[in-house]
Amino acid sequence: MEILSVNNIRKEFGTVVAVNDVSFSLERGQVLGLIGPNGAGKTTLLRILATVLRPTSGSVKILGCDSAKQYLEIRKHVGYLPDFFNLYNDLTLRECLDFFARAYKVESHLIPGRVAEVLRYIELEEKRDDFIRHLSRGMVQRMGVGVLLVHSPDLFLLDEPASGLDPKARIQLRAILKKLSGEGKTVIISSHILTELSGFCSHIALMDKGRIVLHGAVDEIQRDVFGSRRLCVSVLDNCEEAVRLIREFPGAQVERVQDSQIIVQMAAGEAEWAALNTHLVTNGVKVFGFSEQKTDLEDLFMKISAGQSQQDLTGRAQ
Amino acid sequence: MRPRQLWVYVTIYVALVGLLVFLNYAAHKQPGMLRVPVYFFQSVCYQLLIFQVVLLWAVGAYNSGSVIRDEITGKSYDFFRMLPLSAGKKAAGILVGKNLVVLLFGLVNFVLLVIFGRLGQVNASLLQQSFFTLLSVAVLTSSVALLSSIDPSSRKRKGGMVTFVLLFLFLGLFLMRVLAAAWQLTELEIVQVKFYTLTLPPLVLAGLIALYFSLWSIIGILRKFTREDEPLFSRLGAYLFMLGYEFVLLGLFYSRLGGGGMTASWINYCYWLISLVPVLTVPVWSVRGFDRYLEHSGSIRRRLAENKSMMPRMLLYSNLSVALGLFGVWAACAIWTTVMAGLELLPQLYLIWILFSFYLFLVLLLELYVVCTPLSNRMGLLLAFIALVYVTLPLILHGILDSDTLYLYSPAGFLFGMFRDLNGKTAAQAGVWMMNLLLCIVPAMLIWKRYLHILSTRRQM
Repeated sequence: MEILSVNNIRKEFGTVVAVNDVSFSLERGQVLGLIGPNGAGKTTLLRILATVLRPTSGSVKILGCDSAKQYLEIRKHVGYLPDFFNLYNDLTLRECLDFFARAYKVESHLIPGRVAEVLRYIELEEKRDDFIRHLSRGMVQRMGVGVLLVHSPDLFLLDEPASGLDPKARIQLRAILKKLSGEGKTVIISSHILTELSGFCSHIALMDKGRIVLHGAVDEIQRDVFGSRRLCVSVLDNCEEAVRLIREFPGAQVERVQDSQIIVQMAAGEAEWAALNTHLVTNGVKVFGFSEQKTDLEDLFMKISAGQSQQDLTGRAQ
Repeated sequence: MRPRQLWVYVTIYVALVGLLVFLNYAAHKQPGMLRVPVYFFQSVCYQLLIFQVVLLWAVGAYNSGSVIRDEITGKSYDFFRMLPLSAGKKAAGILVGKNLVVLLFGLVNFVLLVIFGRLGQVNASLLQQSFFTLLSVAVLTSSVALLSSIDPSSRKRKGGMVTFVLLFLFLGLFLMRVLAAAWQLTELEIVQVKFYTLTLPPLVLAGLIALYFSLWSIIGILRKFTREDEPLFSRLGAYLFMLGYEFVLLGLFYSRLGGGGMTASWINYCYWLISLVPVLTVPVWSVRGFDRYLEHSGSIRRRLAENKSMMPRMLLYSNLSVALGLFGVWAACAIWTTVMAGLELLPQLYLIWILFSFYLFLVLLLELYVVCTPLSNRMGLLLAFIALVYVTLPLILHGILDSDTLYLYSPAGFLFGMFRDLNGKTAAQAGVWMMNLLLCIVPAMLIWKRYLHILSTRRQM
C-alpha cells in the first residue's frame, strides 16, 4: 500500500533551488535512507513532507491526503523529528509524553499505558519522573523519538537523528531505529553519515544539489552499481604479484588495493572463488585472508559519486 | 502549572490584596471612628482597578507574548507546529492556557471590585463599563503580544522582559493613570460620546474599538499560524483593515465635522493625520519580499504565453500597487470629510496631491529595500538613513537658513504647516511636490531595473 507520493516538488529560497523536481513514492513498511552531502536538500525535503514548509510547486500526498489542503489530517499520521530540537525542559518525561498524547488526541484511558510503553521502548523508564532539562543529549534524542511514538504515526520522518551524539548514545539510538524498522514501520531517515543507515534501510535515495539522483531498494542498487559480488583477499607479501595473478584469472576484476588487501569483483560463485584461491597459493602468494566483502552504504555512495554520471544512474535506478 | 507553584502565586496575591486593604484602612482610620468611611472602599476599589489593569493588560500580555518566543528559542517550535490542532485552537490554547492564573486572579479581583465598589457607592453602570473596557483591552494587548512574537526566523531571545517593562513604564502607567483619573470624574457617569449618530458611554466605545483591533490581531495570529512565511496582511486583508479603520475613525469625527471655518478645517486635518497612520503602516505589514517576487514571477511565467510581457502582472503584484490602493482609499475618505466639513475642495485636493508626492517617495524607498535586500544586508540601514535625512534635513535647514517655507519640504514639517495655516495656503507650495517627484525618479528607475532582473533571473532558473 502506497503511503507517500511526492510529485515534482520544488522549493526555492530566493535564487537558491533547495529541492528541484523531486518525485518518488514509498510503500508501507519501507525504510528509506535519504543520503547526500550537507546542503543537498534533505532537510528541506523532510520539512516539506512534514508540512512545516510549503513547496514552491508540486504536490505531496500522504495516505491520500494532499499536504497543501489537508495538512492537519496529515500531521495526525506523521511523526517528524527535526535535526535540531529540544523538548519542554520544565516537564518530566512522563508529563511530556502525556502532553503530546493528549495533543494528538490519544484516548484518555489509553494514555498512561501508552506512556509507559513508550518509555520502555526508548529505555528511559527509570527516568520517567526526571525533568527533561536533566537529560543528556542522547536521552533527549531518544525522548524525541518517544514523542513521535506516543501517537503511533504511520510515517516517521527523522532528520539526522544521530547528529551531535557521542558513540554510546549513537549505538543506543541506532538500536531503537533498528527496532522501528524491524517492526515494519514506515520511516524516512536522513543522514550524511552512511554507517548510521547501514543495516536497516530497505531503500535509499541519494540527493545531490536538490535532486534525487538515485532511488530504489538497497539490494537492487547494489546489484546495479556493483554488478557482482566482491572478495577481500589479504596477502602477506608480494601484493603486486597477487594483483597480476588475479587479473589473469578469468572473470576476476581488481577493484582496489588497500595496503595488503585486494578487493576483487567476481560474478561467478564459490567454486570459482576456491579456484582463485588455489591459483594464488600455487603461484607462491601467501594468502592469509579470503572472504566476501559485504557492501555497505558507504561503499555504495563512494562508488556512485566516483564513477557514474548522474543521468546514467537515474536511468539505471528507473 | 504544579500545585506548589500555584500556592506561591496565591500567597503573593493574598498578601498584596491584604496589604492594600490594610494600608488603606490605616490611612483612613480616624480616632473615634465608628463606621468605616465610604471613601475607604472607594480608595481600595480604585487601587484594585489599577491592580487589575496591571494583571490583565501587562502580565497577561507578557505571558501570551512569551510562549512562541520560548518555543523558538527553546527549539521546540517544530513540535508545536506539527501539533494537529487548528490555528484557532492553538491561539486559544496560548491565550487562555498560558493565562490561567492571571484569569483566575482577575476573576477574584472582579468580585472584590464589585464588593468594594458597591460599598464605596461607585456607580454600577460605570463598574460594568470599566469591566468591559478592561476585558476588551486585555484581549487586545494579549493578542497583539502573541502576534508580535510569531517570528520563526528569530533564533535569539530578544530583550523581551526589558522591552516589556520599559514599554509598560512609559505607556502602561500613563494609560493606567488616565483610566484611574477618568474613573474619579463624576461626569464620566453621565458623559456620552457620539459615534456617527449613536451616543455611547466613552468607556464602552473605547472597549468596542479595542475589540475591533483585537479581531484583526486574532485574524493575524490565525494567518501567521497557517501561513507563517507570508506577510501579516493579505491584499484583501490590507484593504479591509484600512476600510474598517476609516469607518471607525469617521464614526468618531462624524458629529464634529461640518460648519466650515477654522475649527472644521482643524478637525478635518486631525482626521487626515490620524487616518494616515494605517496608510503608512499597512504597506509595511503586507510587504512581499524578494523571494515572493521571484516565486510569483515563476507562476506568471507558467501562466503567460512566451511572447507576452510579464512586467504588467509583476507591477500589479508589487508592494507599490497595494500602497497606492491604500492611499486611494485614504484620499477618497479625506475628500469626503473635506466636503462634510464644508471646506473648499480644490485647495484641499492640492494638499492631498502634495501628501501623495511625499508618500510616493517613502513607498518607493520601502520597495527599493525589498528588491535590493539580496544585494546587501545593510540596505535597510542605508534606506532608513535616507528616510531620516528626508524627514529631518529640511527642518534643520529651515532652522539654519531662517527660511519661511523650507520646513514644508519635510513630510513632518508639511503636516505641521497644514495645522499652522488652516487655510492651507502656506503649505500649498508647488516646489514641494516637484522636489518629491524629482526625488522619486532615481528609486523608481532602480526598482524597475530590479524588476527586470527578477524576471530575467526567473527565465534562467
